[in-house]
Amino acid sequence: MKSDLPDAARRVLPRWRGFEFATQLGELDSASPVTDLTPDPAVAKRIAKLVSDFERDQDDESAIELLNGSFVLGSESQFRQAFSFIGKSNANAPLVLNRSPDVNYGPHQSEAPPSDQQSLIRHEISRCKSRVRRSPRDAISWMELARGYCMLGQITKCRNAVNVALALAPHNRYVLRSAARFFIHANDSERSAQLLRNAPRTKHDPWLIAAEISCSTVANTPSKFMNSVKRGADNRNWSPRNQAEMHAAAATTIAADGSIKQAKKLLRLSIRDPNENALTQAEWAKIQGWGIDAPSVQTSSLLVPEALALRARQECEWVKAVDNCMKWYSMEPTSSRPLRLAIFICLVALEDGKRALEFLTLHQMLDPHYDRLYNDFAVAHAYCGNVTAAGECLERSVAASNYRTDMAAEVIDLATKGLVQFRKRMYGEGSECYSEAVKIAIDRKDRNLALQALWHFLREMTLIGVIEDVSEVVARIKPISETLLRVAPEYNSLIAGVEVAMTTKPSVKLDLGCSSKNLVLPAGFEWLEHSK
Amino acid sequence: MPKQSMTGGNFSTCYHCVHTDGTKAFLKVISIWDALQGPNMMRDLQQITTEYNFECDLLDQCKSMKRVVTALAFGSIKVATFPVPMNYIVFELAQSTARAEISQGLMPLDRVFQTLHHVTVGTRQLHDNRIAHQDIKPSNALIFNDGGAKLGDLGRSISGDGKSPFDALNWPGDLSYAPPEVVFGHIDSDFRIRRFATDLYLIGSLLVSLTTKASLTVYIKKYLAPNYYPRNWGGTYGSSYASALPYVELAFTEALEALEIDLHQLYPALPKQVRELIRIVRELGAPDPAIRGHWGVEGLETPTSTRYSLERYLSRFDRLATEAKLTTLRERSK
Repeated sequence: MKSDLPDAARRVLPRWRGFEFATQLGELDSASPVTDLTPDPAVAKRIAKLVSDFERDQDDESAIELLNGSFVLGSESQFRQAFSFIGKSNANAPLVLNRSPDVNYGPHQSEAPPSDQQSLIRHEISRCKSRVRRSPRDAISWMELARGYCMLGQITKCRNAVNVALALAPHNRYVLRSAARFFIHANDSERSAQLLRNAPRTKHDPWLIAAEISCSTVANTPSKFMNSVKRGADNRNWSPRNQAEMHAAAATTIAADGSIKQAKKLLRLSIRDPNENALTQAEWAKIQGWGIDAPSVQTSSLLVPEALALRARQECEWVKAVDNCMKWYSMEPTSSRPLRLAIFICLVALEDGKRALEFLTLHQMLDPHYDRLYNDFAVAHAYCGNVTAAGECLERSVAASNYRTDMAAEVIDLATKGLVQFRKRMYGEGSECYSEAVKIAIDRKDRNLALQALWHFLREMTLIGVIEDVSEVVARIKPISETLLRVAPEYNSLIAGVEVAMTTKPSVKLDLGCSSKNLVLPAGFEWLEHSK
Repeated sequence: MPKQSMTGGNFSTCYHCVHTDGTKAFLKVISIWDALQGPNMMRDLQQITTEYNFECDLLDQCKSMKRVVTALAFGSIKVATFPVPMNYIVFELAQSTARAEISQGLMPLDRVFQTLHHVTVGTRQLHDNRIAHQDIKPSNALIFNDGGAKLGDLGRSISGDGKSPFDALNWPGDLSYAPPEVVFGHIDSDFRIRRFATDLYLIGSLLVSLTTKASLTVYIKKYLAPNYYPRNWGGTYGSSYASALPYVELAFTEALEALEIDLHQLYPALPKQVRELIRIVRELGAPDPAIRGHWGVEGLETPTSTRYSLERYLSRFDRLATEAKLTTLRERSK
């Protein structure tokens, strides 16, 4: 059985994007941009002087001077004038002004970039390492290096690079937000909240306030800026785009406290001119039942793969959801959330072990110390028919789990053992494992976990043609699976598969070594039906 | 006496002139008449008087400096056709400027380093007297008949004693050559960082200009995303320099990568000197003025040897000029 359910809660945590992408999205633009665009008189005077010198002399000397001056001072027409003069007369134009700025000058420019994801990241790390070696004060390159390490799950190296970047640029939005996101990733949410709370720049920057509110919620500590956002919800000094994440973050925290009306008010402010994260949050709020009439994510001009994945998931369009998870991962490769959701959909709704293995490999690269992945590998291998590999992965999962502290792990491993036994055609042992898993979940009053194990068990039974024995159980547990379906709509697909098999597969009688009814209805089953 | 009209700044006109003994010179005439006719007469008069007196005092102070263009004479003269006396400064006449030289084609690297060496000597002489030039650029690097260079135009200089008419200005020099911190409106309270560090940037930028015909500022701006252009670069970025600094640092890193490629293309026979040149630009052009200059003195600063001291660069430029010359000669003889 697939391990933990995808996260039900969503916070407006800052995305840790690549610097270039963050720049393109305008997420690092000044919170207080210059509104008076009249050129400084000194600039106009200097340009006028350069132009008059050029018009008088009409030579390369004055043209080069005008070329330099007009480029720096942002006078495009004069720049073109000088450039065409130089171009006409000779090859005296400076090389730098002849070239596109997009040319990559990394140390490996002659090498073709590698094709697979891991080599691509290593290539990027090597480029950043070379940069920071030569320009050790370049905080952005340190942060990009940290991002590369994070994508490979090298947390210690990543932390060191983040700390260097923070020491170099403690006032920079990109560095602060990326560092805060890293500390959340490294399960150090308190440091994340503390970092933003203590940064002198936070109170002047709505993007940092947004991150502080969300990180404080994750760290379960009070936010320093929450009250000021509540009091003066719309700050006229900042544009709606600059405040979008801040309002969405505050709305989420307030909604979690139960003040839905106020949360909706803030959410409305957040979608006046939303960025990708705020629009996704509005979509998520809609799915959670406290949303507002937000612009449709399907028609949005913004790139919103997470929102599209959530929407597709809600509409049970699994292939579309997985495709968007992949796009979401490409946009935020330091986050395991898109991979977790994709793996869950593949293993529960699509029963696509091969695709799940691709995502699991990426997840393992990102988070190599996350032991619960072995269970998912076991499930994926079992679906692919590779029971030996499945058995080995399961053994590693069992060895890595601590059932005293993680009760769910025991149930999940047992259910997966049941799956592996079924795929080995050892149906009796498989049934016993599933039955034991359901019993433990019931004993520990975990309703959703018990239902998950039960449904997986029923699916295996129907796949081998044991129809009659499960029909009655399906009829009894389907009405009580609403809660599970709400948090994991993927089970709609699994249940539909069970029902289709019940009507289409020829029923067979197998000797499982014991009665199937006794197996699927362990002691305490009534609790499942009557509890809420 | 006036032979040829040249360029001039505010209320001044420049001429080539010849002394009765045949010595050629450069004459700067202050036109009080223009000020008298302007709409802000009193203010303009005050401005030109202060600027003229300051420049004369400064030139007097710098008369023993070998690599700074000095005044041969200054004073005022009555001309019959003019109703008011004319104030003038006579400078030694240069053969050319570095700006003119680079427009003729690629400047040999040994000449570049030699010019830089001489300009740095001049800057150091000024710094030793607590004077910051603030306007070091190719047109102010004057080339003389012997091939040597001198630093010209002290008109925008800032004196450490606070007597400069431009003290109140964040940037008295040419805005198109200004270092990034100036363009972002950063004003450091420390005189050395505010004035000497900017001179160091200008020397680094001059090194880039003489080799590539584009200033270091052009390179940095080319690799800075337009989202972070301040107003004086035609953008809207309004946050402090501290918050923009990491973006400028990244642009600087990328600019140096591009510069290195350009220089290897321009001077393929001198890879070692190009690498050293890049190292020097990295130090002198660092976007953070507080860490500009020689990194070797970190924690070892003395009142006479700080990170803004130019001694180390003098010896480096001198050595590089010799090395480049020898390598070129060796290449030619092959």
